[in-house]
Amino acid sequence: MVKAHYPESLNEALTIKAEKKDQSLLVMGGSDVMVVHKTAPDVIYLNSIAGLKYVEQTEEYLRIGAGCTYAELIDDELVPGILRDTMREIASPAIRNVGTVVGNICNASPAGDTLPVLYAMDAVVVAAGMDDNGKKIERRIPIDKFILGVRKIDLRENEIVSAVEIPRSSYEGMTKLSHTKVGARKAEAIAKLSFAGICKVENGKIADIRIAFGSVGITVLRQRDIEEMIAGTPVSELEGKKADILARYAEVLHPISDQRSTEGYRKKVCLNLLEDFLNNICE
Amino acid sequence: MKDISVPVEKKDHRMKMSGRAEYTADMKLPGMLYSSFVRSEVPHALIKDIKLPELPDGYFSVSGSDIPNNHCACITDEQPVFADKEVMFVGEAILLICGPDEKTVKKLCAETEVIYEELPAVVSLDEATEVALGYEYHKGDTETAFNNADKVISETFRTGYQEQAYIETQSAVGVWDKDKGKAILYGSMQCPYYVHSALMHSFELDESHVRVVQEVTGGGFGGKEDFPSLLGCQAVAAARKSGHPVRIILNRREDMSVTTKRHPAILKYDAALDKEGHITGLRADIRMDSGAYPGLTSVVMQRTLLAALGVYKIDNLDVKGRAMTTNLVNNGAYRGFGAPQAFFAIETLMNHIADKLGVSPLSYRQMHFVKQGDETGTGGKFWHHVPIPEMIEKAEEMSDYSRKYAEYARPQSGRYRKGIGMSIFFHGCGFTGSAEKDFIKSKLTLHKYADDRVEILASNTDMGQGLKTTFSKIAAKVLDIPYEQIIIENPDTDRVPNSGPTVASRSLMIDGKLIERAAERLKAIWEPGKEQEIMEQYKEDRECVPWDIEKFHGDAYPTFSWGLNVVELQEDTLTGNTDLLGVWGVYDVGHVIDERIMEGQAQGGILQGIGYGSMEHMEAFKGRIRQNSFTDYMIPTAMDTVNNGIAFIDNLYKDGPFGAKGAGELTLVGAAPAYEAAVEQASGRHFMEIPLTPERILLAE
Ligand SMILES: Cc1cc2nc3c(=O)[nH]c(=O)nc-3n(C[C@H](O)[C@H](O)[C@H](O)COP(=O)(O)OP(=O)(O)OC[C@H]3O[C@@H](n4cnc5c(N)ncnc54)[C@H](O)[C@@H]3O)c2cc1C
Repeated sequence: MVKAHYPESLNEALTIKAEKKDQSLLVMGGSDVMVVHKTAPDVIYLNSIAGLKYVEQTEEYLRIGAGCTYAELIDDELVPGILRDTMREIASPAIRNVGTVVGNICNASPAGDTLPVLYAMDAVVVAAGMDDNGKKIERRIPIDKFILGVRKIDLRENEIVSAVEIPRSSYEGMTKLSHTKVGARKAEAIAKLSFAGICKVENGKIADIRIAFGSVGITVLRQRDIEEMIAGTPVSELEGKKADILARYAEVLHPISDQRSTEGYRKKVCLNLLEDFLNNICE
Repeated sequence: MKDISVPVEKKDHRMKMSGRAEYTADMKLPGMLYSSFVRSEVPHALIKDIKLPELPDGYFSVSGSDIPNNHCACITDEQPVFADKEVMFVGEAILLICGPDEKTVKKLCAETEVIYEELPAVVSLDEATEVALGYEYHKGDTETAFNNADKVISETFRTGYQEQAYIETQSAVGVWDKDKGKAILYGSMQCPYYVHSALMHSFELDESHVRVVQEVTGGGFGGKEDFPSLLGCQAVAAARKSGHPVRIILNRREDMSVTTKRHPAILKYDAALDKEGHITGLRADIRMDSGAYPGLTSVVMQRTLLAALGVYKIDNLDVKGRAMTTNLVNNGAYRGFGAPQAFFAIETLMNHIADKLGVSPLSYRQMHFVKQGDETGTGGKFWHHVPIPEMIEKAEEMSDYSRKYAEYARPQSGRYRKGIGMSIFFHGCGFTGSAEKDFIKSKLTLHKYADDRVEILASNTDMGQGLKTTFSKIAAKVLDIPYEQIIIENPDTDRVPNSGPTVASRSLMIDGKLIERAAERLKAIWEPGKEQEIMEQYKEDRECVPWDIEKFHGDAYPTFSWGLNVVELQEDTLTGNTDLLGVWGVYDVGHVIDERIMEGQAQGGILQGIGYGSMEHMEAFKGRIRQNSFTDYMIPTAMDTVNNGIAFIDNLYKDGPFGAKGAGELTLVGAAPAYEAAVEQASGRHFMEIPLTPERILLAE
């Protein structure tokens, strides 16, 4: 028998979770859960929690409540344009009406469409839990530490992700934010690969640059060492460095061939998109 | 009544829109059992042993030994209903386990162990050496044409699988009436009488001891032409053994892995050109993957060969085709039935030659078009008007093709590059060869009830394409009674005569004509308030060059439908992805019987054709279909196209009702080469293979 829970608050959900632990399954929009026929003795439906549906700004962060659907976020002007554009290309209206960014993160698929942008933005996952005394505790985990592998996340058995936080500095003041999803068609397609590039050109120099690739490995690929090498480069010298940058990424990109695409294509297009990003960095 | 083309409400509209339509999956018969298959896990092996788990009470395992004649009739009968000694492809059915609980049935299947002795397997067309069947035909003197050629151009084209992707998977419910010794089958299908014959054959029954009923059918596209015969035999075998009705419903992955698909093909062409660039001789050598069992392959291949020279008059021809046996899933019927492969090749060849000669593809085609009175490749005749000039004029008006072609031919730069492509094609209407006359001999009945409603009794099926509506319109218009007064039900072989299968774009043209004639006769004797009946039978009295299959000579079709597609797109040079900017279709289907239905046929057909040419990538990997879900097998969505521009040209055909000709398949046939031509112009490269995926466009396979 399966018992369905419809908690009305995060605390109520955390209480159930603390009790049922790994015997329970969290469901937000259910659009990933549904297709894999996953179930558990206790199913906790989180989409009934009104308190998880919010977008708010602090001085440092944009905080997106775990309950926000794609459709809601696409219409929310506080959400950075690059993330909204990314969400517009996910699935189809029906899925966007139920699917959530937090679901996308917790599902930890290599092809999760929001992940490259979130990695590039250094997003932080907020995991809430209840300790033995019934006290709520929060852990804040950088996304690249939270996602451990294919469908593997750093979430404890009494925890629920309550929000995702995006540093405002990762998009405000950035001069170029670019995302491309490469799928086999324009709707309802799992990405063959995706690219996110964010950078800030200041006083003729690349002050900050973040580059992430999706669907080319078990998790999103982001090479901070190469980014650091590029940072500080005067724009006028970028052309000269381009071949070296591309060669470095070529060395670390190891996509596979599968039923959706080929290794050669994935790699070539990743590099094409990166090169295009570098070529147009001042646009 | 207004002009017959004016759309009416489809006969099945309310039932489907309200959700009341009941499909096979909705059937619940008392005592009905669920079922699941044990299927081959290997491409080729001897079955050494089958270790069944202990079956609980009420559960049955059904195999070939439960069938009087374990051969499934489909043209030939090589294919066993259940593999007994040897498996020939991954997914071939070995056992069906049935019982009252679906989960238990699945569990029992998973627990069944089949011990194989693996044999060498042929898992690609390239490595196939065994010829399943073949045809060839010749015309003129090809050798001299090639000896005297100014230039010879040789190219080899490849086409892939295409999956019909009907929304409703294959499904059937079998019943065995023990008292009467009668097999009854309900299911999703295109051809009730094919299933009927197959059941007679496998269960050694006479006509009156088999009953087949078509249920509401959620799409077919050819995929439910032959496969339901196999499924039907499997369901009835289980019902006969268990004494219960047995339901079989394939799940999507299973359906995509084990049902028939469009034949992959390799098409090798040599063209001899004279000084002016005219094609003076053409050699085509075509190989197709038949799969493990030939099924419909012979007829599919005939159509491929008949389309091999396209819409062109070429006097010297050597056309040869061979279907190769592989240890892969069987291939069969898919809308277009062998023609899309050939039109892709010949149309692309024409583009490539034009390009090599430095002339525009359209003007190069214009040097070769057939016209009324010309001989066909097989010594038949184009008896009727060939409307290519009007179609081009219409297409130019709608798409501005020539101006755009010239514009995009200039050097382009930047990330996005544009291209426009055109294809011109025909579809031979109805069955290939003399099958209508010699084999189908279609019969149908109009039955008038005392309340003056008239029922059409025919075995043709509506699978969404709108046949119930168009048939009814024809009867209503001739009888001059309201359309609502016509009754047409899903066929039940206990009630309807055999008016043939619903395939080959034949139903409306052939059987629609019988309805027209029957209605004229009924009208002449019409007595209000009286029950009356008219039976009409196919007869052939037109002028023709008789078809001879041995010599592959004569008129293969009574007439042709004609089509023209234009595709305009832009290619993203970074990703190889394309955005369609314009898609146009101009068609001659004789006369349109219902504008809305025909518009639907055209919109869907073009998009299926573009899918075939662009994204519908399916491959067998180590003998296993790799893209066997809608997540991995990509069919285009509405987001992938624009508002396609469609136009029809009237070209009345006297042997079709109200002048109508075959229409269903035509709309798919030419889209792939038009798409490919547009990509070639945008990218400045020639390609030889479809689907032309971004991987292929960027040469990164
Ligand atoms: C037809 C279809 C098309 C799709 N197309 C795309 C696409 O184009 N791009 C794409 O990226 N994805 C796509 N998806 C996948 C899916 O829609 C997305 O991953 C979506 O973001 C999942 O969100 P959800 O709220 O529905 O997640 P759910 O299915 O509810 O949950 C996903 C996973 O996260 C866990 N979880 C959910 N909420 C929490 C929480 N608060 N704390 C901890 N764990 C939690 C669940 O237990 C589950 O394991 C598609 C899915 C379908 C069915």
